[in-house]
Amino acid sequence: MPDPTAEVRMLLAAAGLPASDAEVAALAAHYPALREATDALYAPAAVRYADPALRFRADAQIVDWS
Amino acid sequence: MSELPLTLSDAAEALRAGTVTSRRLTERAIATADRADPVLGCYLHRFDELALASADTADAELAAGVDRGPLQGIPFGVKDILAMAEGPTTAQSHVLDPAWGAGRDAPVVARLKAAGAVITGKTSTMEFAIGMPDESKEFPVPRNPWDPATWPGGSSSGTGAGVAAGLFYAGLGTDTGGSIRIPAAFCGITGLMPTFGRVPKSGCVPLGYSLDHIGPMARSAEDCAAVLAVLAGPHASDPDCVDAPFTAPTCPDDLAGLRVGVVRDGHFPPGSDAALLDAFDDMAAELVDAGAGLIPVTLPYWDEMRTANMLTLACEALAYHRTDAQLRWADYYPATRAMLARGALVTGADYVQAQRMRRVAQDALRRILADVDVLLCPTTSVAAPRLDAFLSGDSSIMTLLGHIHTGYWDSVGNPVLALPMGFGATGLPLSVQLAGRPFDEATLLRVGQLLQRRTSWHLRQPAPVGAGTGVAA
Repeated sequence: MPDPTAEVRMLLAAAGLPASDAEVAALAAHYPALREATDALYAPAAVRYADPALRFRADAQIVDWS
Repeated sequence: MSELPLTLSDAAEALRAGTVTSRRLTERAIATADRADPVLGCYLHRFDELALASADTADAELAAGVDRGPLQGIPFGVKDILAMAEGPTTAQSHVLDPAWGAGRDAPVVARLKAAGAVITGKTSTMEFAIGMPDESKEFPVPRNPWDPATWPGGSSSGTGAGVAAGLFYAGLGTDTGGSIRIPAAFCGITGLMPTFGRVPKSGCVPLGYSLDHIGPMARSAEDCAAVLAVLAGPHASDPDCVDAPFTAPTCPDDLAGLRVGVVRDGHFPPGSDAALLDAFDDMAAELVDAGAGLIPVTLPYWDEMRTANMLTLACEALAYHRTDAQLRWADYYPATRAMLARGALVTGADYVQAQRMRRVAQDALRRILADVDVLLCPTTSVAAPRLDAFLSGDSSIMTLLGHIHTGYWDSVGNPVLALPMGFGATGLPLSVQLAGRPFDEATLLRVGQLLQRRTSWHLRQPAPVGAGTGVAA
């Protein structure tokens, strides 16, 4: 894995989030575990051909709530 | 409210019997808030005059035979991420545009008003329902009435603490990763996360669009059922909300034939409260004594659903907040910034994969719930932690996350009822979750009512705090 600090810094910059060096360091410390847990979502055999819990409706409208 | 009815349901009965008035209930709620809230920090905004006027209206209507149901005349708190016309909505943040929701009622608030509820105020939370307790801005740090040195749980902190301390009989919370059930657990009250899509979530500041649930927090399962009956039902503004009938169930005589799946895996990690296992086994024994059968169950895709909860929440929250975060990063609390930033650390494909994994877990859980009627597991494996660990920035507090067992259920969307189940080694409340099939809250509430008829944990009250009690701000 590339340097987690450099990768986190790059990803936050791409999103335009002005995190401090301390915040980048804290996130980088947890980044390998986050990446590992996220990659594990691709592992179960049952998910290989699963449909996502997402739906798009062509007739959807934005309706005000009050 | 010691000399007044303790539960919403008893108060509703007393109002109709004429043994109490809504004004009396409301005046007592206001007096309790005057005493306790400087310590507990439950309210961001109070509506004392509005509440008294609503109480008088309820009394007049009941006297005239106009009965709007069990919420009529009942003091009620609303979490401050829900819009209410009479007051500002802040989400406990400097960032939220004050114009958002100004002068408007969220559909759930409109339903409460139509049911005659006496809304006493907007309750404290954590910033945008994401953050952590933090003293760095002027918003109150909510405290637990069982021990004000401890956290009441979040993010529906003020609602949980307020019900426990008697500031109101019930309130609204929201649950995206556990924010109804965690404060219900730590404050020793009952909380219901309804099925995703049971209650319209429009008019609520979004956290995770596909995870957010609005639901009741109250002293008993019977009280939660009464509130859910008012909140439930479709609204055109929320495309996720479905038309699934709900009627508050009555308490059964027994649980003969009920099949209860008992979940232990992952719920008793090292460091669990020393009293947790006995308290959990006692609740399971109550179910057996009432006629239920127990079946050991392991929840499918436990780790994956916890990851999916965090990842989905972070991505959906970042989508909502990104523009503000770019421009006003320093105006957010540090814990909020950390969660939003996680949404930038994964890819679009990762987000979709989390939604594929959620579908797989839903299907696996559906098969388990074909063989059992409800699932039983601890809500958390520790009691309320001390606040000083949060406020000092002690990173060891993050071990708390391994003791919170709620996020799985937000990922799959099934309904979950959190009930008090005794006290931990330090004398603070413990809690158990009952989870069920989608849109089958009625079974959970029936089981919960029977458990609470056989036990009294939900009726225990913390000692008063505030001026004159020895526990002052």
